[in-house]
Amino acid sequence: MKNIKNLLIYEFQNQFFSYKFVILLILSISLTSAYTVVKLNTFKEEINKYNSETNQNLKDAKNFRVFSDVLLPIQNKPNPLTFYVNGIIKEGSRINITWDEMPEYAPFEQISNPYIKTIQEFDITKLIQLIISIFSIFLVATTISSEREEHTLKLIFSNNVLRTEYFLSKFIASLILLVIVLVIVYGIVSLVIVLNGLQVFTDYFVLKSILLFLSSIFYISILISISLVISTKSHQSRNALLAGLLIWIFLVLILPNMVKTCINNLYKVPTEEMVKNKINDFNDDLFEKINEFNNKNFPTDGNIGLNMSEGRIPGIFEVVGLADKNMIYFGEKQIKTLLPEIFKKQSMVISEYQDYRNKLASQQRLISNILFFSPDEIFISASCKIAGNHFSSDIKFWEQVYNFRNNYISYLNSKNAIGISFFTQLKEKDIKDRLLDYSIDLQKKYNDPFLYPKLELNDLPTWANIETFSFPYRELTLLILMNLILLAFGIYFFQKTDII
Amino acid sequence: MLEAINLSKRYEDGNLALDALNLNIEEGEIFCLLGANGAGKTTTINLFLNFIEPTNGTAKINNIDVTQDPLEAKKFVSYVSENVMLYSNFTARQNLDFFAKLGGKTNLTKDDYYMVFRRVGLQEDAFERKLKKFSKGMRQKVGLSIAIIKDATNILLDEPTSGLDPKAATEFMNILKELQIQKKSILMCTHDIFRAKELADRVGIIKEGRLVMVKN
Repeated sequence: MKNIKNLLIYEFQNQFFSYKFVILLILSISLTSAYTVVKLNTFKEEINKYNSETNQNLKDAKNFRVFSDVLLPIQNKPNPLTFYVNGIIKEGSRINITWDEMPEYAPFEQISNPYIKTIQEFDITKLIQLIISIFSIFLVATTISSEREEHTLKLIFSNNVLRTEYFLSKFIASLILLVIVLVIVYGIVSLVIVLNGLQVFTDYFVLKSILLFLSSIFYISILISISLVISTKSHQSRNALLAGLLIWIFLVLILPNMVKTCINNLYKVPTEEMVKNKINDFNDDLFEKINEFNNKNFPTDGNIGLNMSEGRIPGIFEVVGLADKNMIYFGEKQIKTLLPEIFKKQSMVISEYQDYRNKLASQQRLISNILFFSPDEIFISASCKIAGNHFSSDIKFWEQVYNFRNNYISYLNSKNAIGISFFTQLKEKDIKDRLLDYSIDLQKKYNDPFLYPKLELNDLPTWANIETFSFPYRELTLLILMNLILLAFGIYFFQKTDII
Repeated sequence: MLEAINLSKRYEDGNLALDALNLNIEEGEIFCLLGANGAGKTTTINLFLNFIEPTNGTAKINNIDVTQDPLEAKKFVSYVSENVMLYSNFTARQNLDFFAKLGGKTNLTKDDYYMVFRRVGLQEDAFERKLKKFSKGMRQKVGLSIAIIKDATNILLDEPTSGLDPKAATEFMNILKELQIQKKSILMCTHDIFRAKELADRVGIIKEGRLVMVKN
């Protein structure tokens, strides 16, 4: 392997100064920059809209804080473990506070939190797949075939050059070149983001960028190996290019869609409609019970009673029943008898969603496993792990959320539960004291799940003490393995191919 | 010294490109292999360079079987092809530097390269010019420089004067004569009978893979 350094240096220089590389670089930079600017503008609009909405919610919520202990942990910027206010409706002396569903149980309609959306969508994965991958083939597929065509290959191998070192030098030089393109593209994208005044460079953003970068390199190196094999076999550059393009179309455009369609057909998941119908049945039962309860306990005053307010997902902890400021007293004992019923129904709803999510997650995992080499899949799963609100994120995470809910429900059921004070006549100060105790209690237990003014990505593992981000070692290991196998195959193939 | 013993090659499509070639080119000898297109000339060179495996027989360079130890054998041979494009993004000197290093010459200076260029008659202003705008004759001169700088004892040439103008071809031949004086064994495949007669110590005529005649 004494020639590898020489071969590598010259191969690198040869490609670096070629018109193909210059075109590749200019196109990559311009396309990614344009894409980033468009994405950023959309992102900014979403953030502004979101901030103004949440500020209004916060303002409204403050006015009604006295009515509910549960209101204290209102998270105006969604925190997946807490409840946050959906709307406050004042009807005469009656005030209904409806609670939005817990974000993690929003399977049909993702909450429009741009901070969460950013993690999932704001990356250049798709662009890398579409642009850099096609350029990899454009650059590499002809590298050996053109040398064969121009007889340079014969001249090289008229010397005592090993085929392995020649192949490796082609591979490494192409990889270095494409990594340079990636670094420049990343640098420019980062610059565009910074110049737009967005502070998205949290720890997770950096981590995700590293992940994106790493897997992009591995993905590109797979394409390089494939392109080199094509180039090895082709006697004409245009045939190599054509074969490379066909393989690119198959790998990037056809295969992922084909796999998804097959899995969707083979591994059936209940439709949204089916789950909704089932949940509606639970809720009908619950409404009936609440009506019964209200008729029995508050027969004379229609304005006082327990109300089940329907949010976007009915039944999910939307127990709302408030009188106005002067009529806070509710029959503690009576309500305590109803709570288990409510909680039971809620558990059934949660369990339905859980089941639905599990199936979706299994389906998604199956797709990810088959398309493990695609950075898109890696980022989907990594992003989900970061954001913690996607069906494909780790089921363990949802189990912990579920446990948290159960603990909370037990707490409400317990003798000194603040949930009961919800229905008792307490002064504002007392409620605050009780809430403070409750918060401290929860802080000890859950590492402060409340009082986050804004959902920051790096808050996620802290508030619930859950490690939401796990580096996709498995996917990366598979990528590395696939690279090694392809490289070994390429070298073997080149050994068996005629130079002429 | 170049030697072919019963060297045969039958391609996968059944075509017998070379049929039991026996050849021995001594030190300081120029052997011209004459033949029409498809006669087996290039196949002979490809076998000597181990680009293809022989179906039968042996090709030897300095008594080293090229099939048995191709890397060792290639240390002793230089090659000039019919129409080598080389690396058009590099200058003539960079191309020469690259191939010189592949040929094991790692300590050469710019002056050494320039000296070889002057020897093959490449004009001075072309030394540091990129090959993009080189004519075929200029490229061939760079190709010959590559063969010369390796300083191997054997040289294989595959239609080296094809497409060259008469002046360039004559210059090329003169350089080969100089190499002969340096005791190089030269095998040149060509279909130019006049050049062959003018240059060669021996001329072999190959037809349909068989060496049908050898003349001094």
